[in-house]
Amino acid sequence: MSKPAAQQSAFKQLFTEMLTQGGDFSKVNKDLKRPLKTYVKESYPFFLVTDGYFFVQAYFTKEAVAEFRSKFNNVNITDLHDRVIVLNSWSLEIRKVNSAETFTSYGNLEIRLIVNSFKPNLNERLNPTRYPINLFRDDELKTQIQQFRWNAINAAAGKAKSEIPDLARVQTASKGKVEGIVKIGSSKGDDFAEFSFKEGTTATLSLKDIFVQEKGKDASPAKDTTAVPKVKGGAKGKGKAAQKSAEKKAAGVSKSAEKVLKYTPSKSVAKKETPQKGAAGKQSAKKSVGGKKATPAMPSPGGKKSIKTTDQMSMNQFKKYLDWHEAKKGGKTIGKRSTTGKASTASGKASKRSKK
Amino acid sequence: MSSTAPAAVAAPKKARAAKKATPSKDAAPKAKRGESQRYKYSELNKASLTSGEAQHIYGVIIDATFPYKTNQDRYICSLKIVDPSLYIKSQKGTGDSSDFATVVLYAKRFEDLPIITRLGDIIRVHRATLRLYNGQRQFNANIFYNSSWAVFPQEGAGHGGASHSGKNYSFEKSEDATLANIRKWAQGYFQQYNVVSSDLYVPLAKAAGQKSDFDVVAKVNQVFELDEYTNELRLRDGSGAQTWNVLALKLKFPNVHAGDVVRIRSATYDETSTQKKVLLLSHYSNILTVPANSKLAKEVKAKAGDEKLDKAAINGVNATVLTEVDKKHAGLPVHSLLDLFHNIETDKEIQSKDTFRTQFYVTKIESADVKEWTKSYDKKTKKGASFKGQKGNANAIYQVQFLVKDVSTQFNSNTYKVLLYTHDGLGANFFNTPADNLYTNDKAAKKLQEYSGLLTKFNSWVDAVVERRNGFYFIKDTKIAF
Repeated sequence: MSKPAAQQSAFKQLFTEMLTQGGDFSKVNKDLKRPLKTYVKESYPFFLVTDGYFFVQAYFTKEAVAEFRSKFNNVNITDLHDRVIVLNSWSLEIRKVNSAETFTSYGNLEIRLIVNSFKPNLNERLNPTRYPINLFRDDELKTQIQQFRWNAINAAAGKAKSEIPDLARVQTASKGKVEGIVKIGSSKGDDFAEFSFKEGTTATLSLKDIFVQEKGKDASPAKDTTAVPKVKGGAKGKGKAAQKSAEKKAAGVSKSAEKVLKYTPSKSVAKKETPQKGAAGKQSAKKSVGGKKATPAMPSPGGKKSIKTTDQMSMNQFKKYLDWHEAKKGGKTIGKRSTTGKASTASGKASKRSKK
Repeated sequence: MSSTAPAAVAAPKKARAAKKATPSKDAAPKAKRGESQRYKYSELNKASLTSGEAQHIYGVIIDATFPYKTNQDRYICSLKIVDPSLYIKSQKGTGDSSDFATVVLYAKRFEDLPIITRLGDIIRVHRATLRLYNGQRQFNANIFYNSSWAVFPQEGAGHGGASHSGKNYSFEKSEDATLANIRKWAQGYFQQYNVVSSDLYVPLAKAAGQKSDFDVVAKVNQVFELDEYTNELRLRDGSGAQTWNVLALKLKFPNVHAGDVVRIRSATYDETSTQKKVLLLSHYSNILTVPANSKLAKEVKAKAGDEKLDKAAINGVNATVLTEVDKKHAGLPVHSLLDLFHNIETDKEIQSKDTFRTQFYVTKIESADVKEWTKSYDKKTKKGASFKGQKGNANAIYQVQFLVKDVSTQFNSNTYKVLLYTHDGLGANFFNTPADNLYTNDKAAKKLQEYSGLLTKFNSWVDAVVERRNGFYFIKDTKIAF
């Protein structure tokens, strides 16, 4: 029989060796345990790394994440899509999973790549030789996992006690009942679990937790996971956009309010509703911006649609701010103070400025 | 659904009533938009390149991709079609790219595109635009806009069994003749010509040297059920001695059977498989069956031959079926062990029958001592006695118990008894040697020992016919194939 060709895929070689050694990583050849340079095919919601032929899911320990953050605090793990990373310290372990739910598994067994230490090579680009496919969909690896299971089943079947039905019994009617089911193994449930390997239990951080740590709870992940995540945008961008739209709306409403102010109601109502002449010209002070209910005198500086004044400074607070500012700037005042006792337009501008 | 000519609606007398009145029940139904137009079908080579008008065509499919997604809201299916005006004329099989037209169908949903599983089916496209692309006539049809397609099977009469885009499809009476003519032409064409020219596929022997994806035409020697989702097809095309493997999802390619000749559209060589030859498929790859009575199928079958079972090559890398069933049971559907042992109470079909075909692997054979596989049987007492210490072989029968599993029972913690008890003659030829006193017949004992080793090897499978009697399943009409 001719010698098999050298294995091109690092992952396939490692995972095959792991299965050959009965799921015991300590027995895997030391020469194969070198640092691995991999390309990140996807970084969220699954962290998939590829060796140019196949992709597997990488699981990070708490120490790996902590070490990465201490050394590369300006790089997000969940933004490493399309980058090269070097896995300095890693291991493999086998876990029993439900393959219907875990796509990086087969035959209800997953060989996990546990990453204990890694670093990015941000300036390096790798072009995979072919479109990477799921290693657990490879023909040969599927066969090897099946053999792994078969070995365990055979061992259990060898120990199972089953009687050979005698010739007289098989010639007697069984009243429709089918006989011949023999239970193997000692597992209580229906699923076969009598494997000889020691199931891995290494604690790893979920990628969702890493994402929340890096981006915050409110940050929603990009729907297109193949797109390169961008750092810009997020809450700040939204805030600015919202403020601009609110200011536009405020400008539009103020025009409407002008028309309302010009309308002269009947005498009986006029006293109640017509604003005073003195204040009428001070549009910023008198025009309402939001809702049907009583509204604040000034447009909300935060750009919110809320009719409440929760984000505005009260007069007392504003006076305190002015005092603080004067003390800091050596007595310079921000805007003109009205000597006539009228509400100063500068106060509106100053309060806006203070909110920025 | 056939089209009907539009009927005039009776105009009411008063103008006001005219606005409000609805057609009475007695009036003829209002014609649907487009029903009255007769489609004028162009021959592929004669369709005008300059008119810019929408074209309607009929064509015979000689190649097709599986519908695939190209971006967020676009799916594509690309086909090659021929007709009496444009086809591969050379009988020897070599041609060039001008011997067919391509059809590209665009849609916003996967389900709006055809899934082509057979060469020779006939496609009709309405409102396609024609252009030249790389010297080839290319018909483009936007299904999400106003184009439509319908696919008719090559065999059969009329337009029954058609698949189509949209909820309905129109079919005018005049099309009966068009469809019948092109069907007849296609059947003759496939029988006389190779249809797929040799430049349109790569022999398997040259597959390893291909740098990009390529097409294959080969015979399926075996369809092996790898797991509940996947079949493994074993292919040969006669270009080399080796057999190639390709994984085909059951859901995607349910109609591929052993003995079929297939055209695989877009495969790549898997350089990471070192123990066997493997082809990889992409999401747009397709497996199309070639009509069994076609010239191409007959040539490929003759070249490919059958893979002979080689005992020395049974090493667990490839699934090997060690047995063969009697020809009279060749048409029996295969039942899983789950059906035979667990679903018998709920499945009326299984309750009503007693003969089944099933496939399994053997985890254990009992008795463990091969010499105890045969017994001396007393019909009166219905008892079997060991031959140990005996000289003769009177009334020798096989009494062997196989503990087996299959794909359907892969994950549970059971094995299942399948018996080889030959007291009534069932399965007497299974081991290709009559039952004998194995304590004295060393030759037979040695042969059975060899069978025992092969049967309990990883990836060795048994394809057997079994009969249910008194609650037990007994092997019959099956024998080891070497």
